[in-house]
Amino acid sequence: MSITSLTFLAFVALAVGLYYAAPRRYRWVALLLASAAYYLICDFRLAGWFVLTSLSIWGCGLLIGRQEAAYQRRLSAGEGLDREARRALKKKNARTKTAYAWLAAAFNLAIWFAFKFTDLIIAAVNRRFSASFSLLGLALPLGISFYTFQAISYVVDVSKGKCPVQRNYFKLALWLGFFPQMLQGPFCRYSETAEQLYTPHDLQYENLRSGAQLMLWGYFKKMVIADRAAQIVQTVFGQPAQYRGAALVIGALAYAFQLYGDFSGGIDIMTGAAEMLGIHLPVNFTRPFFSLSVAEYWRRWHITLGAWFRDYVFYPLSMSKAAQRVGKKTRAWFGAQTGKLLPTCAVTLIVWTMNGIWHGTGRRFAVYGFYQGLLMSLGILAAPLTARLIRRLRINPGSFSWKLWQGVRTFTLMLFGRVLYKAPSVMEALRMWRSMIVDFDLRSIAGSGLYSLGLDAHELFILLMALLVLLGVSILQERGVRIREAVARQNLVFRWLLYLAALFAVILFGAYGEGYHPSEFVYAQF
Amino acid sequence: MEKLLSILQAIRPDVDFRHEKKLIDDGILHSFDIIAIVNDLNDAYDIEIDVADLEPDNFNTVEAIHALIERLQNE
Repeated sequence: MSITSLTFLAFVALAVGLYYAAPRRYRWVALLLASAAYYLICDFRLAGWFVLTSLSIWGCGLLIGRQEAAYQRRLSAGEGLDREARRALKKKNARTKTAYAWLAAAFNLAIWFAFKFTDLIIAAVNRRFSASFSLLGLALPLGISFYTFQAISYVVDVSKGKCPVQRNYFKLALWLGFFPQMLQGPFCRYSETAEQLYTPHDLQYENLRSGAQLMLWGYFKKMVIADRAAQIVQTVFGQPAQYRGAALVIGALAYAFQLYGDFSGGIDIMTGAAEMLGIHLPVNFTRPFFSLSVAEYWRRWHITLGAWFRDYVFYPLSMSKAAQRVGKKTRAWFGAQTGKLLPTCAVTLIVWTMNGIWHGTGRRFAVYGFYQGLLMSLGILAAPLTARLIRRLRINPGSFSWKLWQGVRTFTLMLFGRVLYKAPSVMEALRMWRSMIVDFDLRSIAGSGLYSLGLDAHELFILLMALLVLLGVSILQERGVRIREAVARQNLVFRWLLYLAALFAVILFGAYGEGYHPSEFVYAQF
Repeated sequence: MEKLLSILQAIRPDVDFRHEKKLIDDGILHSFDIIAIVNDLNDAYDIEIDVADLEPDNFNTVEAIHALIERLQNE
C-alpha cells in the first residue's frame, strides 16, 4: 500500500475512526489491529519474521526482569553483606542482564544480516572461487532494518534499567510495529512512545488539524518535489557516463532534493497520521541543508538513526577498555591533544561505515559511510588548527559571510557524498566527482541541454517554485516560527485558502499521471 | 567545582558552563564533547563513568556532572 495512494488515506481515516470509536481501555488494541492489518496488507508472506523478532525481545525482556527481581531479593535478604560483596553482586547482575540483551540482539541481527547480505556473500564466493551457487533472491520483510534496530534498543534499554519490562506481548508488538513508524522510521525508543500508545487519547480537533496539516506538507514534499526531481535523477544516474560536469552537478542536486523530499516528506505523512491519533513521534529532520558542518548535518538528518548509532555503538565503543588502552598509546605517540582525539576518530570511522552498511548492500554504501566518518574525523582533528586560523585571519565566526561559507562547504561535501551513494559503483562515482570538478562546463546544459535531463521547461519551473516554497518555510522554521500553529491562528477564510492552495498544489503539481511513475519511498526499501 | 569547571572549559571554551542549564537538551554538548569530558573526568577523579550514566539528567548542568562524580566516588 503506497502511502501516496488513496487506499492509504482511506486506511488512515479508518484507523482514526476505529481508534476514537473504541472504548477507552481498548484503544491500544485498536492501534494494534490497525498496525497488524497494515503489515498484513503490505507484506502478508513475511509477517512471521516480525512476529519472531517481537517474540524474541519480549522473552528477553522477561528474562532480564526475572534476573533483576532475583538480584533485588538477594540484596534485601543479605543485609549483612559488606561493600565488596554488594559490588560483586551488582556486577554479576549487570553482566547477566547484558548477556541476555546481547543474545537477543545477536539473534535479530543475524536474521537481518541473512536477509540483507546472503546473496552478496554468495555472489562474492562465486566470483572468488569461480563457483556457481544460485542466489537466493530473498525478499526483505517490510521495515526489517527499522524494526530490528528498534528491537535492539528495547533489550539494551531494559538491561540497563532505562525502561521497564513490558510483560504484555501484544503491547510490546504494538510499540515495535506501530504502523506509522513501520515503513521508514523514525526509530522510536520504548521510553519515548510506548506510554503514548497505551494511554487512551480523546478526540481533539487540534490533533486532527495539526496531523492533517503535516500530512499535506509531507505530500507536497514527496509528490511535488521528490517525485519530480526523481525524473532528473533517473536520467542522469541511469546513464551517468553520458553526462559530464554541470549536468552531473544538476543530477546530484536533484538527488539531494529528491532524497530529502522523499524521506522527510514520508516521515511527515506518517508523523501526521500518528498525530491524528494523539501520538507524537520523535522528530527526524530539522532542516539539514542549513548545517554549518558535516557533524551538524548528521544531527539534523535522520536524527533518530544517528542517535541510535550514537547511543548503542559510538558511546559503548568510545568508552570501552580497548578504546582507553588505545588512547593511552596514542597520547604517548602523538601528544596529549591529538592522541586523545584519535580513538574517537577511529570509532567514528567504524560507526559511520556501519551506518553506511545499514543503508544498503554493496561496497559503495560502506565507502559512503566511511566518507562521512572521514569528514567528521578530519573535522575533529582540524578543529584546533581551524580555531587558530580564524584568530590569525581575524575572521568573525558569527558573521554571515563566514556562516555562508561554512554552509556552502558542508552542502558541497554532502553533495559529493550523495554521488557516492547513488552512482552505480565507487569507480563511477569517482569519475563523476572528477567530471564535476574539472569538467564543469555550463555550456553542456545551455539551451535545450538543461531540458534533456528529464524535465521540460514547465516541469523544471514547477520544481524550482516548489523548492522556493520549501526554502521559505524552512527559513521561517529555522527562525522559530511554528508554521502550523501560525496558520491555525489566521482567520477562517485566509486559513482555508492556504489549505486549499496546498491541496491543489499537491493535486495539480504532484508528479503523477501520464509519463510519471510514482516512486517508491527510497528509505522504505531498506 | 572549580576543578570541574576548568576541565569543562578546556574542552568547550565557548560554553558558559556556570549558567547553562540544558547542556544536553539544548544540544550544546555533542557526542564528541561527551566522550572528551568522560575521558578527562575519569582521569582527573579516578572514576569509571559507564555508558548507562550517559543520561541527559547527568550532564545537563555542571551541578549534575558534579553530583555524578560524587556518586561514582562513593560507590
